[in-house]
Amino acid sequence: MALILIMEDLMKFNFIKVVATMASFMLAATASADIKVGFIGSLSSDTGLSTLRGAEIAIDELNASGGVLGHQIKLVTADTRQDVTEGVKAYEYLAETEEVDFIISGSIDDVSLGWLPRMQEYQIPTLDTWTSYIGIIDMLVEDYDSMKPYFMNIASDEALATLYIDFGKDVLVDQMGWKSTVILQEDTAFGGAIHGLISQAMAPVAGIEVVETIVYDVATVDFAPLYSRAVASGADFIYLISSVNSQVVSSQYVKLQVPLGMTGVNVAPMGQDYWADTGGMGGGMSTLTPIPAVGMKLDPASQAFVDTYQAKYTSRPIVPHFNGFNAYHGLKQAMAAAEEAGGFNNTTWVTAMEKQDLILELDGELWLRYGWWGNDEIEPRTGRKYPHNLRFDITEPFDDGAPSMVVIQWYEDGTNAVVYPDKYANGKFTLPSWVKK
Amino acid sequence: MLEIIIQGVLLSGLYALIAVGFTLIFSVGRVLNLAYGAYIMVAGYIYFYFSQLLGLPPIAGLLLAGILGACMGLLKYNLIVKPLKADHIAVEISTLILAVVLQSAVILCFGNSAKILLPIIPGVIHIGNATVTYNVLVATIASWLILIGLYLFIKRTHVGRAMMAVSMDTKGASISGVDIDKINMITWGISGFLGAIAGVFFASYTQLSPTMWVAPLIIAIAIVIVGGIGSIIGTLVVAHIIGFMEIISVALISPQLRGVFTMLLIILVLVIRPKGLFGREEL
Amino acid sequence: MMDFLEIDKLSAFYGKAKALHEVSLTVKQGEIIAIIGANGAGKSTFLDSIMGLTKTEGDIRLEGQSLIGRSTPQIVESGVGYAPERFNLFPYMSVYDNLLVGAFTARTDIEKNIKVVENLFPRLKERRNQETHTQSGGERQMVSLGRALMSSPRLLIVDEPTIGLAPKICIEIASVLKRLRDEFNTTIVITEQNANFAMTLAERLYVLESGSIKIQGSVEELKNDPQLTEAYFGH
Repeated sequence: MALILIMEDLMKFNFIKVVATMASFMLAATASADIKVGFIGSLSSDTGLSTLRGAEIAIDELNASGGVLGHQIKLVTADTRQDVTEGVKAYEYLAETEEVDFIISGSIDDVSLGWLPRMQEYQIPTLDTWTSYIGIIDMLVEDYDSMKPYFMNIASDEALATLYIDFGKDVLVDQMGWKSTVILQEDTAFGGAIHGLISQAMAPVAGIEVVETIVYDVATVDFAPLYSRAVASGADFIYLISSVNSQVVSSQYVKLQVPLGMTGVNVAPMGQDYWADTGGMGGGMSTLTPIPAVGMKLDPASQAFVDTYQAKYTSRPIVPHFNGFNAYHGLKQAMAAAEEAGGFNNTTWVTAMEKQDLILELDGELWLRYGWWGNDEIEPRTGRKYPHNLRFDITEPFDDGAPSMVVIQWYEDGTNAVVYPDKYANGKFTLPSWVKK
Repeated sequence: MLEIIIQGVLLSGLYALIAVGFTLIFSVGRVLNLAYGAYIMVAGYIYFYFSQLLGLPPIAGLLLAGILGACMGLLKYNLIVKPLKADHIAVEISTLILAVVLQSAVILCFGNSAKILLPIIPGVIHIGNATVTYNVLVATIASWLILIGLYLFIKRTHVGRAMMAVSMDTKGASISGVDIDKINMITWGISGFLGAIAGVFFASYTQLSPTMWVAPLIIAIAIVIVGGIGSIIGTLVVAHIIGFMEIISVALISPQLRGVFTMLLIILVLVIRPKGLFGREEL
Repeated sequence: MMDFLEIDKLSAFYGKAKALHEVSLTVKQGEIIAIIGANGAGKSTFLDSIMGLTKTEGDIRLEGQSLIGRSTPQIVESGVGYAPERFNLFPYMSVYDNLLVGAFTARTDIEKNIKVVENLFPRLKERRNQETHTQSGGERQMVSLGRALMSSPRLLIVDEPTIGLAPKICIEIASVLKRLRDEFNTTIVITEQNANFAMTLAERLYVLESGSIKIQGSVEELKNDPQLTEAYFGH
C-alpha cells in the first residue's frame, strides 16, 4: 500500500538474511527450462512473505493442473531487504541471471520506485501487489508504451484517501459526534504524507478541527508524556499516524488506559499477528487498511486460499496480508493471460492481461474484483485515469468493484472486525471500556 | 508540572539502571562494552520466553534473565575481553560484532517482528493528568532498590571497594592483594546481571525487537560521557538530567526533538568538560 | 642456614630488554637493608620483581618458600607488603578506604592493623575521611606505607620512601620504619638514591648500577668506601 514504509530492518547487515539470500540464489541456479516466475520483495517481513506465499500457493495449484503453456512453473526469489539499492540489484538479478518470464512484487513503495526504470528497460511483465503509489499509475498515463508491462492490483492511494474521507464524515463526526482531534504523528515521510491527507483533506471536508499535532521520534520509548499532552489538548479524540514500531504506541495506549478515543492509520494492526505482537495489549485500536483486511468476511475462493495457506505455513504472518491475496489471484490471472497470448510477449500478453477480470461473489453480491480500469476510462469521483490499476469502487453500493479500503477495529477481547463501509462492516466502531463517553 | 516530575522520575530511574552496568564496566574494566545493549535485548527475550511463552511467574522470569545475563557477561569477559586485553580497539570492535551476532541469533529464535511484553503487574493510577502504570512504578522502585544496593555493595564490602580500587589504580589494587582478574569477572557478572534486569524493564516499557539494543546503548553511552567515569552518584544524577530533559522536551517543546537535547548536552560536555560532569581527573 | 629472604640470580625483563642482571642478595629476619642506586639503575624493577609484577628468571625465596610462579595477590598473602615509589593509591577513595583495600587479604586483622597504622601515623587518623588526591606527598607516603601494613606483612619493601619529601617528614618516616622493625620484628627492604639517609636506617647496603649489584656490605664497611663516596655522597 502506498506510502507505508515498514522499517523492520534498521540494521542493513543481517547475516541470516545474507545466508538465506545466497541459499536461494544457489537453489535458483539449478532451475530447468520451465516457465520462470521471479519474486521480488523482502524475505523477512510479513509484507514480503505474504506476496511470496500467495504466489507459491497459486503456482502449486497451477502446476498440479498441468502448469502453463504445457510447462511447469518455477519460482525464484530475490530479496530486497526493504532497501532501494538491494531492490534494484534484486530486479537485475531476476532479469539477467534468472531471465524470468514474469515478476511478482511484494516491494514497498520506494523499493518499487527504485527498480521501475529497470522494468522499463527489460520490459518484463511485472505485477505489484503492495505498492499503491499513485505516481506510478501517472507514469502509465504519461508513458504507456514503456510502462505497459507493469500492473498494480491494489487500489492506488488516491482512491484510498477519497473513501477514507467519507469515513471521517460518516463515523467520526456523524456517529461519534467528534469535532476536534489531536494528531499524534511519527516523524517519517509516511507520517508527513498521511498528516497532509488528514489535515488538508479529511478534517476540512468532515468538519473536524485539528487542535494540535504532536510529532514524535520513532525511537520513542515512553509515550506517557505524549499521551498526557494529547489529553491536555482538550481534543475529542486522538488521531494516530504510525508505521514504524506501531506496536509500541498502540500497546502503550492500552497499558496507560489513555482516557480518550483513538483511531488512525496504524500499520501493525493491519496484520492478524498484531494481537500476539502486542501481547494482547492492542484493544481499541482502529485503522484504515487496504483489502482484503483482517476481520473481513471472505468469498469462498479467497477463504479457500487462506485455508490452504494456514495448512501449509506455520510461521508468521499467520494470515496473509492483503497483498497475499493480490499475489494469489493476480499470479493466476497473469498465467491465464500468458496462456491466451501464447507467452509473455509484451504486446500480446499485456493485451490479454488487460482483459482479465475476476469477480468474486459472497452471498450473491460482488465482494472482491480483480479487474482493471480501461486505459482511457475516467473514474468519476476522482476524475482521474487509472490504467493497469485494480478496478476499485469508491461509491456506495460498491457494485462495480470492491472498496479501495476498509476501516477495521480491534476489540479488547482480541477479536477484530470491519467497521466501515457499511456493506463490509461486521462490527461497530466502539470506544475501549476505559474511555468515558 | 506534577506530571512532568512524575514521568521524569520514572523514566530517569530506568535510565539510571540501564547506564549503571555500562558505567561499571567502563570504570573498572576500562572497556567500552558495545555489546551492552545486546545484553539488554537478549534479557528481554529471555524474560519473554520464560514468563510469557512458558508461563513462569514474572519474578522467576526476571531472576532467570538476570542470572543468564550475568553468565553472558562472564562468558564475554573470558572469551573475548581477556584474550584481547592488550588491544582496546579489537575489544571494542569485537563487542560490536557480538551485538550484531546476538541480533541475528534473536531473529533466528524469535523472528524479525517486534513483540510487546505484558506488564509485570497490570493496572494504572491517575495522578493529575499523568497516568502511571503499576508496571513502570514497580520498575522504578526496583531500579532504585538495585541502585541503592549496588551503592552499598561498593562502599561497604571488600569486593565492592576492591572494584573501585581496580578502577582507580590496577597496580595499587594488585599490590594490596586484590586479584584483578577475579574483580573483573565479578564486575562483568554484575554488569551482565544489571543489564539483564534493566533489559526486562526496558522491554516492558517499549517492545522487544531484534534492533532494540541500539537505543539503550546510546542512552548508556550518553550518560557515561556526560557523567564521566567512576561515579555511581554521577550516573544517577546524569540519568535524571537526561530523563528530565527528554520529558520536558516532549511535554513542553517538541516530541520530535526528544533526543536532540541529549546530543547537544553530550557535545557541550565534550567541549567544556571532557572528563564529564562527575568524572575524575587523570592523576 | 636459611635466610629470611633469599634472592638468587634474579634477572628481570621488559619485553626483550633485560633490566636486571642476576641479582643475588639475602636478608635476615628483622634486618633493614637498603638498595642504593641512581635513577634508572633498576631499583623499582627489582622491587616489582619481588612482587611478581615483572617477567623474571632466577629464584626468590621467603623463609625457604619460592615466590616464583605466585601471583602478586598471593605474594601479598605470603607476607610481603609493598609501598611503591609512585604510591599507586586510590585517589578518589578516603584514607580509611585505601587502608581497607590494603586489608583485602587480611580481613580478620583489620581492627588491630588500623590501630597500628594510626598509632604510627597519627595524622592519618585525623585525615581518615580525606580523599587521597587532595593530600600532600608526605601524607600519601604515609597512606601508602599504612596500606602495605594492612596486609600484616612480615617483609615490607619500600621504594624510595623519602623521594621529594621535606627533611622533617623524612625523619618521621625513618623513625616509623625503625619502630616497625623494633616493635614488630618486621624485615624491611628499602631503595634509596640518598646514601646518607640509607645509612641512618639500614644495617647493610647493596649498590645497584645498570641492573647489577656493584658493591655490598655493612654500613660500617661502606662508610669510608671511596667508590661509594664518589658516586653517592658527592652532592
